[in-house]
Amino acid sequence: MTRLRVTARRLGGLLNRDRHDAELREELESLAALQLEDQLAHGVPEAEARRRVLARTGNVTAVQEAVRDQRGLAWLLAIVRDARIGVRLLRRSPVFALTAVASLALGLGANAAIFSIVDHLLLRALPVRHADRLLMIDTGSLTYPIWEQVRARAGEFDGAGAWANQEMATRLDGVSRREQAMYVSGGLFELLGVVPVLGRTITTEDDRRGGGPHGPVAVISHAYWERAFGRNPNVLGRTIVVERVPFTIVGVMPPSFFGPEVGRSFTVALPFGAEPLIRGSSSVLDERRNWWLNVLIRRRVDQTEAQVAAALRAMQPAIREATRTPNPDYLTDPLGVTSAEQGRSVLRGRYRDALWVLMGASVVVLLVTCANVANLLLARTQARRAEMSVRLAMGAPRGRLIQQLVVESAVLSVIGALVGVLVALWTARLIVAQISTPAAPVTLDVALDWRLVLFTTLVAALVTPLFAIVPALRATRLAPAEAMREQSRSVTGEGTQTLGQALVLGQIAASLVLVVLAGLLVGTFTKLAYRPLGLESRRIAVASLSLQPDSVPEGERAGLYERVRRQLAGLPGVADTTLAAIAPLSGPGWNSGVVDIDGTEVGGDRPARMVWMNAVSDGFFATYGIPLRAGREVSAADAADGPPVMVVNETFVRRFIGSGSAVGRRVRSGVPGRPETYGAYREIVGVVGDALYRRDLRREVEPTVFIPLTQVDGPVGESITISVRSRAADASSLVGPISQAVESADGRLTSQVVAHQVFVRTALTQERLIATVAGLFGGLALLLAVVGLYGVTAYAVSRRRGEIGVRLALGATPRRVLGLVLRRVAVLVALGIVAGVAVSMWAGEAVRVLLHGLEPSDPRTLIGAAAILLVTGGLAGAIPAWRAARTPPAVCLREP
Amino acid sequence: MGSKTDVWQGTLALMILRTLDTLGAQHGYGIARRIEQISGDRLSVNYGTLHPALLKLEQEGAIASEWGQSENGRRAKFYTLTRRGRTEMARASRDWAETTAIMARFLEEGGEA
Repeated sequence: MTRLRVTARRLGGLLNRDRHDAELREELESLAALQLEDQLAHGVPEAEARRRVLARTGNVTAVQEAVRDQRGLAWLLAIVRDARIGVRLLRRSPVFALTAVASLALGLGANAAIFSIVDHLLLRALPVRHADRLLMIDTGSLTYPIWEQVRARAGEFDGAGAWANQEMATRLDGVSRREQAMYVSGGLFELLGVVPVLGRTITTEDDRRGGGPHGPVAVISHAYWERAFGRNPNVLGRTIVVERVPFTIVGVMPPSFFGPEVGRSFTVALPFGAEPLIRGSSSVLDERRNWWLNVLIRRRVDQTEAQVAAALRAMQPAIREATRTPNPDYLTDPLGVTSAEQGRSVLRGRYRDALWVLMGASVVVLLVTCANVANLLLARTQARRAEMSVRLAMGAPRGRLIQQLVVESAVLSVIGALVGVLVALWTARLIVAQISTPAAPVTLDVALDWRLVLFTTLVAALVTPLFAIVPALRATRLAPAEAMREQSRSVTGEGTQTLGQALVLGQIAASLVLVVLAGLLVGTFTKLAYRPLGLESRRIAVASLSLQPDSVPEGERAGLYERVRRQLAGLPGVADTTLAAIAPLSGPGWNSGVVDIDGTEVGGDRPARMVWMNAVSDGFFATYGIPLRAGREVSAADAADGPPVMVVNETFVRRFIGSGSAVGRRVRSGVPGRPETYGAYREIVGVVGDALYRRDLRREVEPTVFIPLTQVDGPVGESITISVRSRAADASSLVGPISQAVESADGRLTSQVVAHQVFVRTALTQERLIATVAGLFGGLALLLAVVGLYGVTAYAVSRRRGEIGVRLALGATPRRVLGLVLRRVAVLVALGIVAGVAVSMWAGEAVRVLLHGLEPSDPRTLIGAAAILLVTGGLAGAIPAWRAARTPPAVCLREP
Repeated sequence: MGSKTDVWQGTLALMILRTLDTLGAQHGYGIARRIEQISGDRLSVNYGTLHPALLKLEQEGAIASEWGQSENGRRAKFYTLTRRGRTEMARASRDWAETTAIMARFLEEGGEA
């Protein structure tokens, strides 16, 4: 207790130093006067009295210092003093300071950047109330009918809510934009404990089909409120048009809330009940086969996660019965829940492995950084041996000198950490920008926050001793006499260098590991980026069209699509055009199962019978550059009432038909085992080359079936894609003209036009991200290792100048001297490479999941990385060696 | 400081407390004089030793200080014992008495041998 009070008072004593000093001086002066009067009154002669006063008071400054030590915390003052000296010394050697601070800033920054992303994606809980009690149905997306059933039984829990993300066209003050919107169930925000900054949230009343008592209402995110309304407090009651339906804004959400999905933000949230207003007759609210929303459950305080799961499974048969579909497997997998504390995130699943690997890599970068700074400090303390030995000789306690050196290093750390935080912010934003694609924008609130600063500070505090203590011990270890002697020129031993060399060896090994990692990831990326797609992506632009709900009668849609297509075909530079239900690699998929061919069951389980389906118009294969192998393409003559036909790819033929001719065979598809789902027999009229269908470049081409667009069951849908083939090698210049043409073609259309390469790039987002970051890390580590090697060699050479001079004077050729130095560099580099290769092969398994087409121990990558290190390392060592060999012997010998 | 013995740090605090207990509020010179007189001028107290000790006691809350007028009308800083200081003094006096008693026995034994 007393200790605490004393410490508090002493901390307080650090403030107002001048005032305290002045008061003490005044007190001493008054005491001196008192004493003098007292002495004189007792008859002491004035001269003697004054002497006695002086003897008692002594030197005022000395008293002040003694009191100051007691007043403030002496050790703290000493540290502050050391830090000041440290800063002064750093300013005197800017090159050293810059190198060390830059190393630390990059090392710490790289770590903090990865940390901030890992923190947001993997560690941080949703910024909502009772996040620990939130559970999510983890069986995947659900249908709206299922959600209605769960909602009816939500009383078993402390509430349930649903949401679905969707991109929607919004119109505000005459400006149209596509925004990330989300449908929410009434009360979802209350369930999450999100309190609006303005207005209210969406209630159960609002969530009625066709709108609640207040008509169609919407709430907006804080970011959108800032962006679109300039934080105007009068935003409540304004109208925002979403997909041509006017909504009244009734609330603004808090800035901390981005939506229930980490890494994804929303701008506008609408009640599910408003969906029929937007989609009209194609509303999916009653659609039992449209799995599109996510369900959150908040468990009661007295409920466990297992009890919630059990309750769900108990209600599952009733839910299944109420929402039956023809699919025999419908809703048979038991429903389960998982903690939703950190919010759902597709990103998290997709990037978890990659982020952990990058986190590991950034730790290695940090270690390389530490080794580098330690080496710099070592070289510097060697240079300060004279100073240290003099101070030791004059009686400075060793502990005090070590403290000063460590504090000096800490100064470096602090500056490095400060710059590092900035590096981290910049890098993290760069990484987020890399993950984000136009089709799936990623919003991570990577901002300067206390977690990031705390992390950087902690890491800096953790690593400072790593690089500071050993050099400090070294510098103060030697006996003064020995150090003095070393000042004179002599042929010195090499013992003092072992540590520096070991550090460099470690650096070389670590950077080799990182270069290998970068090589593997870049190799994977290139393999995927240059894998044959089977189609000519670069030449193609894709317009995805959708009609306003119920704006175009079903019978007129096909004609409208065909008209737009012809308009696009007329644009300059367009070679071919085609309509397709799904543009290859664009993301969506449609699959079916093959039942039998010419009456013969194909056999096998369901995955083995699975085929990807697409519906296309004439010109599809010409547009995509997919070669025809046999028979004919889908043509304009394949009418709705004509004989049902299909074109299949070569993989289809290999999987289901084998060696014979495929053309003329008749195929029936549907859900195997459920005859009511079987379609009519379709005749194979053509075989085309293999082309990728799904947006997953790691997969092989799977069996694919193309049917004429005209022969799709049911009415023509409200959305379609038009793919355009450019005459030029690159279709991106067509994107603008196509957008304009579609925009002016028909007012009932909304469209999104992209170059097909965007799909490929999107498919490679993760690979590109980790290859880029790993490449950066590898390059950084390599640079640091080279600097370290250069430093050690240069230092070794400078210490052996005398010896080299003698050798040269005695007739050694410069070549021999060069060899002398280089031999040691070569040994160092070779040992480092061997160690690095060993570690790489051992650690390689950890990254196997991220690779494609490469083994973790890919010999070409290992050899390549070793060669890079050999060359750069050799150069770093050769430059000082060459300079040494070129020095005239007289110069070497004359120098002290 | 000549032949006079410098005061030990540990004992000085107790001497200050006892002085303030006996004399009431005192300024630095008064405390120093008193300690020297009691010791029969065998101790010498200078401000370089006294003031850090005063500050330490003040930080511990054993004494309080205030500017005031001396008997001959001079402005000086006066130190007084607080309640906490009185308790602390009682405890330290007891400890010290015990220590000296024990030490005295050892010294007696040594004398007899």
